[in-house]
Amino acid sequence: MPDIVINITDLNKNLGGKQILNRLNLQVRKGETFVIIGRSGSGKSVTLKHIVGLMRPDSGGCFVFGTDMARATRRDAEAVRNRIGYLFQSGALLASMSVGENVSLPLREHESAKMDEDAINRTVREKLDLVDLDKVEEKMPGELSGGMRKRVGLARAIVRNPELVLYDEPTSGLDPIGTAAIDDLIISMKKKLKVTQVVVTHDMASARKIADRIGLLFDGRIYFTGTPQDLDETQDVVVHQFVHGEIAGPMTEKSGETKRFRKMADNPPSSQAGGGTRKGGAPEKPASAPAPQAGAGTEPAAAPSPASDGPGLPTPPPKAVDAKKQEERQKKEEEGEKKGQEPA
Amino acid sequence: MLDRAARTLFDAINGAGYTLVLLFRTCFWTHASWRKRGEITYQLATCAFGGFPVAMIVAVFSGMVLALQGGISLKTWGQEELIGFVVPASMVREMGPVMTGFILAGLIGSTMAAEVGTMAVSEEIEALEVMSINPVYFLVMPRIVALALVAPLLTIYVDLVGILGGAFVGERLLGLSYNAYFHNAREALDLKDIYSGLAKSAVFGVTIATVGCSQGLRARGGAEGVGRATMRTVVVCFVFILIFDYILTWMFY
Repeated sequence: MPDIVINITDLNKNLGGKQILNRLNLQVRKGETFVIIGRSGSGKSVTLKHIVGLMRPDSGGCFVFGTDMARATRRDAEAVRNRIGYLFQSGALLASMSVGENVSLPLREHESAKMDEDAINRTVREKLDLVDLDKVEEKMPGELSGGMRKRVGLARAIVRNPELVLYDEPTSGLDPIGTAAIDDLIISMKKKLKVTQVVVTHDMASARKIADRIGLLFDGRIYFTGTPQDLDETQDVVVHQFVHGEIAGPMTEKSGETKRFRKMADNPPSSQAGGGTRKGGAPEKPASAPAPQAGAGTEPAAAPSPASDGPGLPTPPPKAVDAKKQEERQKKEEEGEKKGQEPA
Repeated sequence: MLDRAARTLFDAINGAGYTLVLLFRTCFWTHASWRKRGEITYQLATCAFGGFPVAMIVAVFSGMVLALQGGISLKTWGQEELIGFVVPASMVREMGPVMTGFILAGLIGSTMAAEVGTMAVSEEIEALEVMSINPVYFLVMPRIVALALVAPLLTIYVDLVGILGGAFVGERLLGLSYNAYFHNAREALDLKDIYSGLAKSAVFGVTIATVGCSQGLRARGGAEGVGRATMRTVVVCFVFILIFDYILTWMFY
């Protein structure tokens, strides 16, 4: 399989007693942009760290350019890393060095025999231009905004013209224009330089725009792989829940988060504060939140609605959820009830 | 309770092992010292400029208090001129290296732990690894080499200032002439006192930088983790300075 750049097979990783990656399998082809989506804490960044050899798996293989990073010696791992650029979530610029020194660092450490000072400076300017930054070489990372730091991090990641670039949340914390600029850069990297790219994100708009293929990481494995179109057309409930950002569904049901989210929606902070006041002996009536349904304001946490445990959706929460979502929920609840009644 | 004690012991052994391995890896990377001369010089300057002002105050008062206490006791037997022997010998053999070690642990060791720790918690160390730049070569080796060189230099300075402080107290409070004091000082000191003191301080310098970097590299959990690493560096350095001081004194004398 000469055109497979990354081949991960049955990768397992347990961190702090939690199985983060559970027999994860993933193949990334040469020249494609593969986007890994998934919930926060689902193991997206951990997967990237395995690809680059910053983490070693408990078991399984992680072949990058044919080298198993799970078992590679330091020297072999470094040889692979020389062909990889990695953009960290925070940019990870060295705070004690200026922007110019940061971007030129990989060149000075590895290419100083081949490149003179002029060539290094020229390359640094060229890469900073590419990420749309001008006259920042002398600035320190602390003087830059989060978005600028990320772009400098990207310039540093691509300064040695890597064959594979890994992006950890490249657009998180950026304004819409900054996000679009990074997206365009990722697309142009693929078109102009034919670079293979793996992008970890939970920004669906960004993922649709840049991806050749998208993989959804759920339950420690790649649950779904397909083009952005496949993702939108699939009837799979897990994918549907993530893509449409729904609170209730299989992704949150298993961990008990659905209940928690519903409670949060049912009891906005003002009513919880009211509960606290009562405990302290303050008058009850003014503190209790206005409740559309009897009992919901007085015993919010102790007695969840029985409907919330069923297959359908919860009783509509008051105020906290907007009207549109409330309507959708009511519809689904009615459907759920009908389904529940049918067998009887 | 027992579980907690076992975990603490395990962590301590684990940390000691990590620090030792770090030291061996640093020894390997010293062959690249010339290539990192810029960073080593920068670290040297930082350590020296950071240490000298505090060292002066500590040294002068250490010398003065040694002379005063010794002088008061010796005056009872009319032997106060002996402080010319006592102060220089104590300063060069023990007080100089140990005081310098304490100053460097508090000032430089803690700074190193905070600096490297901040880098560790903000993914900078991982960024170096990804760029195929070995953090031991890039961060640790220059700091250890610099502190191994600065510590003996600072010790010479502390010794001299301490001896001068003793001379000042001898002349002003005990009526001992500078001539007599320095004559006795020359008599008291031999070459072995000087080189053993400097060797001790070099060992302390390496210990402080290695512990500081090791704690920093292992820092986890944001600002709190960095704070813990800094605190541990100072405590561990103080303990090991005293332990190594005893062992080295036993070896030399």
